[in-house]
Amino acid sequence: MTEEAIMLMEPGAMVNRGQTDCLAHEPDLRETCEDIFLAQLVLAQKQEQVPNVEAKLTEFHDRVDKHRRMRPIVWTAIAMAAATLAAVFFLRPKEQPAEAQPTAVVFAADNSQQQVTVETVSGTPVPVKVVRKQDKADATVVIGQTELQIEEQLALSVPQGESLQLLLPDGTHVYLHPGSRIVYPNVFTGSSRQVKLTGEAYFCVAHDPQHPFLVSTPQGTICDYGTEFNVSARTDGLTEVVLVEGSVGVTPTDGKEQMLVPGQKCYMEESQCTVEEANTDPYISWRDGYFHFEETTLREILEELGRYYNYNVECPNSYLLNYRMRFIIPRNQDVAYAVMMLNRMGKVKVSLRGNTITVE
Amino acid sequence: MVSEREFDALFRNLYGELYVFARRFITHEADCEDIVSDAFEDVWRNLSCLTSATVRSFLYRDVRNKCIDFLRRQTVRRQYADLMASVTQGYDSADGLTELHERERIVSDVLESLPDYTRQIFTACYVDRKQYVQVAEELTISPNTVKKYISQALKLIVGQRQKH
Repeated sequence: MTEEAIMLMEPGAMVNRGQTDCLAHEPDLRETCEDIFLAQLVLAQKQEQVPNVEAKLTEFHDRVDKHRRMRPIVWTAIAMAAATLAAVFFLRPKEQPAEAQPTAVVFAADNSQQQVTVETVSGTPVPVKVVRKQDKADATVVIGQTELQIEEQLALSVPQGESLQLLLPDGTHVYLHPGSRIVYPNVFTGSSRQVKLTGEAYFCVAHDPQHPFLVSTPQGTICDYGTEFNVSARTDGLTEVVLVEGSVGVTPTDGKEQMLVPGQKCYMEESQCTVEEANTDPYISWRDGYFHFEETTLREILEELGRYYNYNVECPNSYLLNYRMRFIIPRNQDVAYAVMMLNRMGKVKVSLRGNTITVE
Repeated sequence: MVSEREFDALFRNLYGELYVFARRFITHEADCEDIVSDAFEDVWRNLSCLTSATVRSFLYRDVRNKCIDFLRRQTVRRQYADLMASVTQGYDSADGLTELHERERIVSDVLESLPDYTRQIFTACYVDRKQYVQVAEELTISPNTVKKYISQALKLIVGQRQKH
């Protein structure tokens, strides 16, 4: 094992993903690597050239603490001829208040009217009833179909603060995250079943090998052959596909199709596809009605919670946002529950005020 | 609550060791200086929520996170960032930091007890960041011999650690 540690810690060594993942599962190996790190640190402390700390301290205060810098100017002014004293008195800069701490806004709630809407692609609204059951994490919709043509394209929008489970005409289940929009026909005809997605959704596709299921996103298309997968087409310029079960082909716009096997994640960005191993548990958990964060930064967790409950999130101590945690809770509860469970982790203090979650 | 005068004392006491710590992640001196300065700026903006007991672990955690983020932003260094993140996990908590400072003492004792030659090899590899092959060439021995010296010393360190 010392051999492995020596290999991993070699300066300039090209380490691969498998090796770093190994470390997570082998505490003995990790501790041995820590020993090498500590040895480096101890030896460096004896010989490392440290910059002039006094100079750095002065530089620091000049940059950060304008309060102190002002004083020399005032003293010089007062030292001038007495005749100008009155002028100096009035010219004297007002005491600067202590610099207000920048409050980091992690997520902004959408305060406009938030509703699930369905419209035809030409913009005609379609009557929709949202059904919410007490213990269910996701609402479902009943769509008024009487006025529609066969194969009319419908656009369903899920706002922040809502999550929906949608049943497509072929029996496919789509679990839509808050802030998502899906376009689909009220009846599937033709040789393939096509939908368009922005935002994030988990798909359980009804098996039909004769008619491949296609999801098109701004970055590219996912072609499914009867399976379960998650698509995140949220951030500008990046789409992420995680395959849980079955088989999909991912084709970025202007790129080549990349096949995935279960347990793989594909990033589509600018006609490129990058494939990686992924833990599928968090995605399956969403389908089953849970939030599931695995070694996720607090920043990401708070963004998701803010979007799901449509609450503002603020965190003045932004260094906390880099903290990673494992956090799993049911989604069919209210925001107070999520806040309580976050507090139970014992790492941060979370409070609710109005429609804002504050973390410190 | 940390007062402004205490802040200056903290800065003078800890800047050096945090700089050396950051240099284990990032080679470019100016980048390390910026990171340590930024970490002290985070302390400066949070004086009211820190105490002299908590500020040390705050700083180590902040410097570590900034170093790893810095490495992650360079695409070619992402795997290295993950490796360092895993190896330096202990610095992420106050208890972890205390434990690592303890172990630092143990490692230091073992390194002192080693023959100069072994210490020289360790320094060339891990402080001067030379590849094992390069060190081997410079000392006109084989790379395997270099690794053997390191392995012997490492086994001693592991042994001492397990005793505690």
